[in-house]
Amino acid sequence: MQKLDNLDVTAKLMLAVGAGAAIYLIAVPLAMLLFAAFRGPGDYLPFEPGARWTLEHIRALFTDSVIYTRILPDTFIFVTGTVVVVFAIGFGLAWLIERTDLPGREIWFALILFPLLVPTPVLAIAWIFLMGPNAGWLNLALRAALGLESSGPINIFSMGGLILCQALASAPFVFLLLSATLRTMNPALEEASGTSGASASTTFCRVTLPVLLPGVLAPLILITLITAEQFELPLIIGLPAKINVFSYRIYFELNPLSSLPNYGAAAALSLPFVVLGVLLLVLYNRLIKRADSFVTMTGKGYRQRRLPLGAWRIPALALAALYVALAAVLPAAVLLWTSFFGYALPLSATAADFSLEAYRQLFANRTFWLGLRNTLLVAFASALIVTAIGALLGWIISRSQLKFRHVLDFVSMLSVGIPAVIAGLGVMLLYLSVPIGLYGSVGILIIAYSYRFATTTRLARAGFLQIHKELEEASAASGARWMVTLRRVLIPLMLPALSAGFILLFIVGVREFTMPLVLYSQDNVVLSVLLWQLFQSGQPALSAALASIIVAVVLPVIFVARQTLARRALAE
Amino acid sequence: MTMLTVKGLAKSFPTAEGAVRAVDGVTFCIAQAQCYALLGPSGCGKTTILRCVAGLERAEQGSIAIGGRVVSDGDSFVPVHERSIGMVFQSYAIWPHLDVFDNVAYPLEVERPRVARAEIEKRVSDVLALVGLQTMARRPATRLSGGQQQRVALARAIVRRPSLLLLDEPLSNLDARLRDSMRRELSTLIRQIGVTALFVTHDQVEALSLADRVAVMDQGRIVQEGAPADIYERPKSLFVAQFLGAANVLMGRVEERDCQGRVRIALDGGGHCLTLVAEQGPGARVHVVLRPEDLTLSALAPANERNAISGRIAALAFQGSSVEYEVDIGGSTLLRVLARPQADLTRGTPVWISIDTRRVAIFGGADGSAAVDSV
Repeated sequence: MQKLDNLDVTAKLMLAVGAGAAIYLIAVPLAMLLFAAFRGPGDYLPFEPGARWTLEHIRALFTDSVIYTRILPDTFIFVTGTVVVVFAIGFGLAWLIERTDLPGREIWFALILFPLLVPTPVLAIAWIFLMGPNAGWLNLALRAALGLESSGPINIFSMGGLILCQALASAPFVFLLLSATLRTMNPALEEASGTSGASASTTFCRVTLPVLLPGVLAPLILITLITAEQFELPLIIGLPAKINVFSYRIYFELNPLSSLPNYGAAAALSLPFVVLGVLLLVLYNRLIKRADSFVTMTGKGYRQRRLPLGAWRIPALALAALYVALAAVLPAAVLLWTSFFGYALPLSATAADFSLEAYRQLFANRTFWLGLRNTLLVAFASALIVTAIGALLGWIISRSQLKFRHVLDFVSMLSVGIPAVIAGLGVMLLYLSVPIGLYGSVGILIIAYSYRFATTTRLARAGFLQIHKELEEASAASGARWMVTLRRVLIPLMLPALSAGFILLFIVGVREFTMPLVLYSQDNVVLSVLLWQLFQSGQPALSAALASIIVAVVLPVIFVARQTLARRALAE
Repeated sequence: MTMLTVKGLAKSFPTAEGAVRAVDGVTFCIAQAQCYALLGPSGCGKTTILRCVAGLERAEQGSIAIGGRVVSDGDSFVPVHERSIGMVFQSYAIWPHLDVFDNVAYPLEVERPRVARAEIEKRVSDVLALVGLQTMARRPATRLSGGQQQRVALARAIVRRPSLLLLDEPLSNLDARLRDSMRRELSTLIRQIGVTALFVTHDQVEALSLADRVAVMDQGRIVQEGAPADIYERPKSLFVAQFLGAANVLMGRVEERDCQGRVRIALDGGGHCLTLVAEQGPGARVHVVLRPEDLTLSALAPANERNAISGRIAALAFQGSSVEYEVDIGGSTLLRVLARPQADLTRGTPVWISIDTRRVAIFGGADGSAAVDSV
């Protein structure tokens, strides 16, 4: 391992900029959050003249009965319910696709990724069209089939509906994590048990399960954390159902119905959330280390033993089809239909109702083009920043001997534990306090989005670990300065990992809804926020048209993503 | 002229159990065009020294001068890319995104001031011809065999004509057959281009056959340095004797000593005795080191039984031109003997082992230090 003796000033400067940017993007907004929680009165910014130190926000945390009677129970039921359902779906799908001879595995794999790629409001709106209690397609179909009257039987605007939707939306994420676990398990481990005289069931209990356990528990922790951070569906589906979870409450403090934003209360509410996030992450990292020490992937190619489904093939196919229908095919269909025919019934509509009016209106709307430009610009710029920072951090963490590298590792990991709504709040507090004209601009979104470098750091670190250190040293021993080594050896070798990270972050950027909503202004509107606004203002056809356009943009990405990402990057 | 001078080099690494002194005050120098080997078991610090010389690690103490220029001492440190070195890595470190030519051309391409393209082309072709890869210039690096990778690594290391060529276990990644031929080739090539070379290895055959001078290392120190034959013939310690050959080591006790300096040593266990010239006085515990190739095996009792040991063949392994016999000499002691194949010697045959006492090394003390050469 080298210290930095061999680096020239430019190289050191570059690494320092990377490390500095990482800390700035995460630690400074968090520090602002901490200040805001202890400064009052609540509608004052932490460093505004007139603000003073106070414990009133912290005290309110303990005394506000809404927190105990509503927010905590709702959050707990939402998170627990979602995790149970999403794990059942994710594990079922992963097991069917990785360990059985299910027909059409590649196609299922691609379709399952759909919810991961489109912005959550697109899905939320589609599900409301499908499962709305009065006129939802599924309800109409069920009522007709069962001979029922009035509304229902499915009511999306309920805790059950919210949990189902969140589980459908998060399933691909769990699916990818568990696929990786199942795929990298060396079948020789099971075969060795068999040749030792153990029966199939003994092998499963004594070998398969214990070996898989860390690789299954780690995703469980992660999805618990990520569900607790969810904001989009609790806002769009939970709010009409009067479900009040933590993340929404923070947003509510910032956008109360009839008073000034209460920064202090929002910040104080965020603190326990961040602490919980960090604790879960520490646990997650422990489990991941354990899972890695079981590493079963040797780099040697081996064929995964697949269980023949036999007669179970039909129910297995039906399960996969049910998920794909609910999470991908029906949402896409209902959006496309609504964009052409309005929010009308499929059966009652005639060819004469067909209209391109919604698209015409959309294309004539200046805000649409602004939103499109902003969405692509912010996603592209933040993905670029995050990939660059991730690569530099990955290098420092995997290659240098600096003590400081553990801090960087922790900071980059921290970004997973910070919900978007809190990140948005921190950035808001920071740039409202520092008057450099960023607030309300596209620039603040680029900065806000760029706090998510955990993924790229991990990808880059894994990439560097795969590049034998001697490949780098050989360049230095050939007389190349570090910058030359970087340009001519490291970047070319890292290109697959870096581009995977970039595409992934670009998709995350296009999907982002929470931060642009928290930081919304007329100038920095993005498509996901515009979509919600259109839907809120009662324009189903227009919002369906916009959602369809987003889906049309995303669909080709599925196939790119399946090749470059799913198999390698998301497994990280 | 001295090409490399290393003085008082020391470096330690932090571990869970505290700092470990990987290199502990090492001093040596290499003359121009000399090939120098650092030989030792893994973890003896030899690779750390090589990496310090290359500039991939920074020593805590001591100084390093390459071609008369101090590259590392207490105050100054010349980074690796500014040192006049070429290095062959253990893994060869052939860049997979470049083909053979581009791998070899790299050191010239990054050189400042710039080397003209025509000059690069010429020098790369020359060096590829030298290592016998002239027809493979455009082959992707990922499609090279182990031996070819080794040649590319060597070509890349010598293409900019460095003052010093460094080789880190250069043959350890090759299979046994290839290793023998590459060793000969490497030896010829290094002498042909007349480069000064420092290499580290844990393989005594490699060190003894390739190097002009060998330093045997143990626990971060050089324990013996000299010409290969010198070290092999006259090891100064039990460690060196054992490390340089797969030697038999027997324990014994000096029984008596005559006026001519001859001592009689009673070997533990079997009741055998040896009489030879040694320094130790009566009562001393000694290690007796016998090399398998220095022992003679016969089914008949030798004329002079004084320095012969009787036993029975316990096992034998045919190795082609020779056979390795394991002879049970009693007291659960097995002696390994390397001899020409003899049809009458099979498992269970009673045999005599004759010992040429001039080839026996005796080391006193329980730890085998205080080495004494036999005469």
